[in-house]
Amino acid sequence: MTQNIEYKLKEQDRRELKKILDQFNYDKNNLISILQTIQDVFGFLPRNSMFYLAKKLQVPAAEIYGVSTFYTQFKFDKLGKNHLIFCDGTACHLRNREILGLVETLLGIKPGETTSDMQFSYEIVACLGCCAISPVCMVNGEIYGNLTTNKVKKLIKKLRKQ
Amino acid sequence: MNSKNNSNPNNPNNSSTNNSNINTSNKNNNINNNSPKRELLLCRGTACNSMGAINLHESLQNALVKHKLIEKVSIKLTGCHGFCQLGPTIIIQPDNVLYAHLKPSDIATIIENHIKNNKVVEDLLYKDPKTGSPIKDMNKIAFYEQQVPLITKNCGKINPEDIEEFISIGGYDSIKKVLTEYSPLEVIEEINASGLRGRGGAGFPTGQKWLLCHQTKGDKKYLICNGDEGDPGAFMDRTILESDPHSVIEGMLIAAYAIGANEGFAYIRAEYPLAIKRFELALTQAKKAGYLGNNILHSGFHFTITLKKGAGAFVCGEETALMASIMGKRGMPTPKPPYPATSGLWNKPTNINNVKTLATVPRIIENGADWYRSIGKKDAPGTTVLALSGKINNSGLVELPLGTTIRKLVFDIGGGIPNGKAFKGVQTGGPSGGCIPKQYLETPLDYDHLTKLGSIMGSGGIIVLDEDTCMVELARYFIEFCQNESCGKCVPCRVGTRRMLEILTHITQGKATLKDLDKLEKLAHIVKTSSLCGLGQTAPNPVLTTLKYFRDEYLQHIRDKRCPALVCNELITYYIDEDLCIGCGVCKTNCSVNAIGGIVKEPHSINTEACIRCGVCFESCPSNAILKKTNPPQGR
Repeated sequence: MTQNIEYKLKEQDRRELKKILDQFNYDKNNLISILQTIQDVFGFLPRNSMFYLAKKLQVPAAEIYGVSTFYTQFKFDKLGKNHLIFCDGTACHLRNREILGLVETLLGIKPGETTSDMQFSYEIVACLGCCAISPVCMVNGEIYGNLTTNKVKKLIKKLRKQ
Repeated sequence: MNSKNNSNPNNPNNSSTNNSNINTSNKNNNINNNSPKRELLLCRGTACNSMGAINLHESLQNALVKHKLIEKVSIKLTGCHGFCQLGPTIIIQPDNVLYAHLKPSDIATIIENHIKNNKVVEDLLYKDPKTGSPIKDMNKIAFYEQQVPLITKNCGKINPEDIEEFISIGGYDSIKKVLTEYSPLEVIEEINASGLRGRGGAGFPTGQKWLLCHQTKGDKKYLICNGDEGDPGAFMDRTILESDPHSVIEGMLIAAYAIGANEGFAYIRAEYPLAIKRFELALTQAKKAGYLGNNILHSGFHFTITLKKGAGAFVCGEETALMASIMGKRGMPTPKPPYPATSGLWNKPTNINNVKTLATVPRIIENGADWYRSIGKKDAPGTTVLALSGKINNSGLVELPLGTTIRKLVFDIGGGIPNGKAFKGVQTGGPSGGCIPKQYLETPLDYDHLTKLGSIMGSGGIIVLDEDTCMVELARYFIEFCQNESCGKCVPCRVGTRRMLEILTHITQGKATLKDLDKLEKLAHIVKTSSLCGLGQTAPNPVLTTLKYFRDEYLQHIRDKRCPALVCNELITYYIDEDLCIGCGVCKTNCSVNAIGGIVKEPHSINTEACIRCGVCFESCPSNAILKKTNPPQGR
C-alpha cells in the first residue's frame, strides 16, 4: 500500500464520495457497504478517502482503516488492467501447483502484486466455489475453469494482446 | 474435458464427435414424441456460464428462428443442473435427455436430429464411465439416479430470475399456509417435530433455535440468512442462491414469522457475483409481488430483507463475527453466551440460519413434519446437499438422504476415481473437518458418525483424495488457510496455528524431527480446546485426523525425507525418461530457469541443481517423459 498514499482527492472524487455517503445515509453501520462501493468506483480504496469518511461519519480513521484491512476484498493500491484471481480452494489446490508456478513465471510477480506496466494484478484466493470445474481462476469477474498450464498460457497471451 | 471423448478415456468405442459423422442412425434412438411442446433447459449456473453457456444461448435462439421452431420449442434459462463437470449442459424435456459438454456448433445437430426428427444425438450424451455406453434417460445416470432432490428441488428446473415460474410450481404457498393457518408457535412445533437440524455445520436443532429466539422478549428482533460460504471446497449455498433464490426468501419469511422478526439480512459473500445479482433481483420481485414489505398477504405481518455483501473473511461464517460484520465492524467473534438468540445484532434477539436450512423450511411446511421424518435417518432426518469434487469422475452438486454411505457417494454417484488411480480418502467439512481414510468407506454421512471419526459434517463440501494426494501437504494447506483467516483475537488460534504451520512446513521440507511431531500433536489439542470460536476450535481437525489415519506418511517425510505421493517440492526431483523423450524441446523452451538441456530429436536431461521444481515441464511434455521421484523408503 505505497504507491497511492499521496493520491489527492479531486473535487470530482469528493462529489463521488458524497454521493456514496448519501446513498448509505451517513450510517456507520453501513461502513463495509460504503467501502465496497468506493472500491467499485475507484478500483481501490484511496487513503484519503478513508480520512474523508472518518470526518463525515465521525469515526476515528484508525477504525475505518482497521475494518478495511481486516477484509481481503479491499485493495489499497490501484490494480492492473487485468485482475487475475486464481482459486486455491481444496479441489483446485490438488491440481494447480504447476499452474500457479507458471503464472508467477509468466508475469514475473508474486501473488498480491501488480506488474510495473499496470497490465496485470495477480491474486490467490481461498475458494471461488466452482470446485466441480477445478482448477479455476477469475479474470476481470469472469470464471475460467478446467485450467491447464497450456490454457493459462494462452489466456495470458490473449490478455496481453488486448 | 474439452471434448466429449475426454470424459470417458476408457471407452473402446469412442467415436469421433465431428459433426460430419455424428451417430444418430441407431434405430433405438427414436423418441416417442407425440409432439408435446418441448422445453430446452439451458443451465446458467456459474460453472456452465464459464464453460460457454452464454454462447450456447445465442446459438440456440438463432437456430430456433432459422428452423421456425420458436412456437414449438421454448428455451428456459435455469439454475444449476448439478452435474457441473459436464457443463455446459442442456436438458430436453419432457424427453428427459441431457446433453453435455456442448459447443455452439453442436446446437445445429441437436435441433436437426432431436427436435426435428426425434432422434437422440448419442455422441453428445453423457457416457457411463464404466461401460462407455451413452445414457439416454438422464434419470438413469448414476449421478442423478440416487439423489433425493428436496432442498434443490427447483434447481435447474425453473428460471431463477422469474418469480412467476416459482409461483407457478407452488412457490410461496408455504408462507401463505403459515400466515393463514399457523400461529408462530405452531410453526416452531412443526419444525421441531420434523427434526430439522442446522445445515451450516454444527447441526443444532432448528426448531429449538427458533423457540429460544421466539421466547426472548424484545421490541425488535432480527433474522439473518448466513450465505457466507467461505470454506474451500463448498459451493452448495452458491448454487441454491443462484438457482432458487425465492425458496430461501420464503424460508426466511417463515422463520421471521416464527420468531417474530420484522427485519432480515442476507449475508452473501462477495466472491459470488451471480448469486448476489440473482438474490437482489429476487428481492425486488418478491417485494413487488407483495411477499416482502408491509402487511404481507394482508396478514398484518411485516418483513424486509437487506442484502449484505461479505468482504472476504472466512471467520464471518461464525455467528457472532457475521453479526459484527453486518454492523460494519471487523468480523471478530465474541464469547458465547450471550447467544444471538438473547443478544445479537445491536443487542437485540437474533436468529441465524444457513441458506440450506432456510431453503428446507418451505418444503417441511408444504409436506408436513412426518413426511420429512420419513427421509434420512431417525436421529438425523432429511437430506443434505453435498458439493462433490476433487479427484473424482463425476463432480457437482448432490443431494442425498442423511446416512448415505461414503462408498455410495464416491463410487456409485461419483463414479469412482479418474485415471485408474487408487482411492485414498475423503475430506469433509473444509478446514474445520478432517480426512477419512478408505477403511471407513461404509461410514454413513451424518453428524454423529463423522464426529466420531474426528471430522465434521460441516456445510457439505466433500473432496475426494486419490493416491497422488500428500496428506501432510494437505494438512499444511488447511492450517495455512486457518492461519490466514484467523482474526487474531485469541492467542491459541493466532499464535498456535502459526506455530503449527511452521512445524508442518518443516515436515514437508524434510527439515523436521520426530520431536516436532509430538509438539505438533500437543499444540493441536491446545488450540482445539482453548480457542474462542469455532474457527480455532476446529482448525486442528485436519492435522489430528491425518496424524491419526496417515501417521506413516508423516514418519516417511521426517525419517526418510520422502514424499510418497510425490507432491512436496523439497523432497522430489524431476527427471527425463530417455526412452520416452522424443527430443521435441518443448520442456526446454518452457523452463524458466534454463535447467533443461539437450539437442533436438535427442533425449533431453534436467539439471537437478538448477531446477526449481515448478513442474511446468512435467505438465507440458507431450510424451509424458518427465517423471518425478523421491527418496526410497529406508528399511526399519
